[in-house]
Amino acid sequence: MAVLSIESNGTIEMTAVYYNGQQVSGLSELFLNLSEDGTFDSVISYTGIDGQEYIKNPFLDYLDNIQFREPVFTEEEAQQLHLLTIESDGDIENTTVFFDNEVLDGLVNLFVHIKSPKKNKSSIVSLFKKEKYSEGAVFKATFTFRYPGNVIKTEEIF
Amino acid sequence: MKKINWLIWLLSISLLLFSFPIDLLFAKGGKGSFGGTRSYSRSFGGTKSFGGTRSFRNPSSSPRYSTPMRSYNNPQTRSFGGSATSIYNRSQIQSKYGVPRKVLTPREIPNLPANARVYDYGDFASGLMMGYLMGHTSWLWALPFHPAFYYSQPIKVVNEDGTVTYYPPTFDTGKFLMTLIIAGSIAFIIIRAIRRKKGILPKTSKMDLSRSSFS
Repeated sequence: MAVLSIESNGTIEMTAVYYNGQQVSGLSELFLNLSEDGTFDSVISYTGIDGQEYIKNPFLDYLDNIQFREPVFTEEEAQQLHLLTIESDGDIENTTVFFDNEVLDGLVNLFVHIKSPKKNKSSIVSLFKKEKYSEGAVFKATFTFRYPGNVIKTEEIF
Repeated sequence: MKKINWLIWLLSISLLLFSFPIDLLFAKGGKGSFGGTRSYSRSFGGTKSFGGTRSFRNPSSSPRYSTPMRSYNNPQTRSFGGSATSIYNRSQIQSKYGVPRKVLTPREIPNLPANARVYDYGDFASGLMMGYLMGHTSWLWALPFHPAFYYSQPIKVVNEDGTVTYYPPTFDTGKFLMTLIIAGSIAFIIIRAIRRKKGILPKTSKMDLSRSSFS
C-alpha cells in the first residue's frame, strides 16, 4: 500500500510530492485518473539519481532510484497549501483519498495532471522562437463528487 | 550561448569580408588605374600571340607568362577598339547618364591619362568619382556606415578613338539590401541575446522550481 501526497497551491513552483512520507524531487510528470468505475490510471515520470528517466506506476511499481529531498515548505507556508493524499494498492476498491488530512467520500473521479515545463534548449533556433513563461507546463487537478440527489459536481482541488 | 557567440562572430566576419574592398586592394587607386585588373587577361593574349617571331625555346626554361605588363597610361594599346572595361557598353552608359554638367580634363585632375575625360554631373556620386580619381579615398568608404560603401567605383569607358571617359559610380542596391539584411540579423540576434540574458524575455528555466518536486 503506497501513499502518495501532493501539497500545492495550484502552481508547479509550489508543489511538493511525497511518496510514503518523503518528499521526492526530479519529477517531470504526474498523472492520476481514478474513477469509481474502476479506472485506475497512475503514472509518475521522474529522473532517477542515476540520471535516467523512469516512468512508473507509483502504486504498483517500485520507484527505482527515485530522488528524495528534505521537506522545503515551512509550517507557515504549508498552511497556505492544500494536501491531497492517496493511499492505495492500485485497486480502486482499496483506495482512500484524503484532502487536508480529511477522508473524502462520495468521490466519483479524481484527476491530477502535473507536468513540468519543457527544458530550455539554448540553441540558435530558440532565439527565433517566441517562448512562453511556462511552455509545456501542465497543472490540472480536479475531483468530482456526487452530492445528495445524485448531483455531480467537479471542483478544483488546489 | 556558445553557439550564439559563434553565430555572431561568423556574421561579423562575413560582414567584414563582405565590406572589405578587395577590388581596391588590387586596383591602383588614385593613379588612374580603375578597371586595370580586368584588362590583364586581354592584354596578355593580344600582345603575345600577334606580331614578332615565335619562340621555340624550351617552355620549361621560360616563365609561362613572359609578356611584361602594359602601361596603363596608354589605353590605346590594350583596348584594340574593343568594348569598354565595364559590363556596360558606351551607348547604354551615355543614355543612362545623359549630358554632364561639366567635362573635366587631366589638367584639372592630376594623375589622369592625357586622353581621359571625366564627366561630372555635380551630384554625390560625381564627388565620389573625383575622390577616387584623385586618390583621395578613405578607409571609411569601405565601411557600411559611409554612403560611399554602397556605390561602385567610377565607370571607365574606353571609346573607339582611344580616349577614356569616366562616369560617376552607381548606387548598388543589392549591396545596400544585403547590408541591411546582415546588419539587421546581427542586431536582432544581439538584442535578443541581451534581452534574454537580462530576463526580459523569460526562459522556461526562469521558472523557480528549486522548491518543487518537479524539475
